[in-house]
Amino acid sequence: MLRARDLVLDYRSGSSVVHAVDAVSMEVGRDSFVGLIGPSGSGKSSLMYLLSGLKRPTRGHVTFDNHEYSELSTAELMRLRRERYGFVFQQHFLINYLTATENVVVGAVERNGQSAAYAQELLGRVGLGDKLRKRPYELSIGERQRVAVARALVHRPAIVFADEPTASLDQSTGHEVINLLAEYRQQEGGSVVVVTHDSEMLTGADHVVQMRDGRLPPSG
Amino acid sequence: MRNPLSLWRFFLRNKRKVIPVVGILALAILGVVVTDSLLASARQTAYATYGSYQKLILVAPRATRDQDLSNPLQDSLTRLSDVQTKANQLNTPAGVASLKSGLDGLAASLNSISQPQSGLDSLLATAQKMPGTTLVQRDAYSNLDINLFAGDAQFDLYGLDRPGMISLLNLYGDHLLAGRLPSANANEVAISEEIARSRKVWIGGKVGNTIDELDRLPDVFTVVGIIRGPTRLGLIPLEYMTQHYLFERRYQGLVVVPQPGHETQVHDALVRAIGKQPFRIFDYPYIKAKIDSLIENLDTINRFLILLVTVVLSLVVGLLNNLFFRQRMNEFGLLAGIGYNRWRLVLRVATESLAVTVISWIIGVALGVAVLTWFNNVFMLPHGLLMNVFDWNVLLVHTLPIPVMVFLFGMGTVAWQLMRLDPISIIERRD
Repeated sequence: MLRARDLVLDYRSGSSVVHAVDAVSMEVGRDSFVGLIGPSGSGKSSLMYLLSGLKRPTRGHVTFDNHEYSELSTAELMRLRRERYGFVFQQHFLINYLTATENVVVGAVERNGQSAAYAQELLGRVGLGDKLRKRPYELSIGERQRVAVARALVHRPAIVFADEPTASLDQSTGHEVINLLAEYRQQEGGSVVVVTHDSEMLTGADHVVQMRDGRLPPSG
Repeated sequence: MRNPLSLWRFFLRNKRKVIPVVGILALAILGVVVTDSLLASARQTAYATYGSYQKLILVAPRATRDQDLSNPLQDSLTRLSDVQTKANQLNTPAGVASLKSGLDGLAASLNSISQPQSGLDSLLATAQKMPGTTLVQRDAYSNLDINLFAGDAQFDLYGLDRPGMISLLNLYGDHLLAGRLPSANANEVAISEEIARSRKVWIGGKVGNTIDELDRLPDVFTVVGIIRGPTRLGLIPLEYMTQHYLFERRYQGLVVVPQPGHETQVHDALVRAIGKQPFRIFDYPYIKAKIDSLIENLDTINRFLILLVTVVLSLVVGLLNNLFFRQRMNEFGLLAGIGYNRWRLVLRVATESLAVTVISWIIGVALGVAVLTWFNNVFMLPHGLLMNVFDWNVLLVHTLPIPVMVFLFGMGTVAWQLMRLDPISIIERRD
């Protein structure tokens, strides 16, 4: 479904060039749970940005369902992210003046009564059925992150990209969040790509990719 | 729930941010509406005060140094001094004859005191024969001091005989609301109701320079008539004025009423008839130009103030917009990150800014109209001052630059940042 070939992402730092991602090739199949793991600065987040179309690579190709990113305009790439991908970041990025339900609906492609009902159903599934009308500042950090997960799932994306979704959470809350993503994969049939530095969060992953210095190991 | 990112939801949930901006803008627009309307009122009242010139031309003696030197009173005093000298020489027959001739000269000079400016009679005769005129009247004009809010002004009183007064009332479609026209040989005056209100007098009230030193009346005059109609008028009797010992003959002239459409023709004919004689012409274009030039300075100051307010507000609201935008950076970073179209985000911010400026403008204009209506009823109308509360030129043209500039400036800086926004820089921020 999602295929990356020889991806390179260079950053220029003064007169030198830093290879954040260096000749990485990988695939994310349907209904799969892929973990990207590695120490800080290993390039795992940069790789996720390239795979999700948040960044354009310096070289290399990314293809989703036979759509080559380099052939898509910025607007088309945005539409792809909006309609087919879901995102969970390290911070929840909830909009402060919206309720939990409204924050989830922000992720919906079609915003109507149906999407609002599904948002409430998702919030129920993540254990926030009694906090639908709460604002982010009335929720705990873990609850906010669960709302962020519901927001990423509300439009039933083909792939959910989660960048360090548990980094600001305690261990048990972190597991809850990962389990929610794993459940989505099982119930809705979407794929999940999780970037983390904590290998314990990837016990349910089909495939774990270890990154170091922007590269995958030869066997990866 | 249709759209969680709707404009109204944003406003309702962010009252503390929106209300101060709306308040500042609305107050500024209120200020512009009020000051502009007062200025427009000064102009409008001035036009109305001198509205009688729209249908008549006043021919008045030109005040010159030669004219002052030929003052008949001065001439008579000189002759009296001559008589006194000759009386001292009465001890000879020639002295008696000389005294007699001196007395004759003095008597002749006293006659000229009550005579109008030389040349006026012939000018009157010429004007009466001019084609294109409907009325030519001798006029012993004078003035009343009135307040136009922007400053004092001299309101013209026409010194006419009774038929002349009636002709003038008919010319303008005015009528007596109360009282009667002034009697021929009495110190009486009839004035329009607005002028009466301005001077706080009614029937039986007094005007004159012992009451207001700027009144150019030779005596205290009693208000005997109140005039109502489309044109403001003041009437005093020709006979009383010309016979009064303090009346200066430089205030005796002609009222010439051209037929509609013949104003220029009559004006030019009068100019030719006057030639080099010491007379001058007052007509509506001249009066209007005078009013405009007086108000022009106020207009310039007002325009400068509006410009200053617009620039300052654009900067203030632009800075506030930027501040609020930075507070919402996470929101925009997230929306851009999850695939919201950048132009739609710009459109969203533009709609928010536009709505704030439009709401502020509507509130400001509505407040302005309310304040002006109150002020008009409480102050302007009782003082005989005119104000158009719904002056669309003021309400629209003069106030719109503020919201337009504020929107363009505030929006321009935010849109520029939004188009350059890198969602990853927001996503990776660890604050």
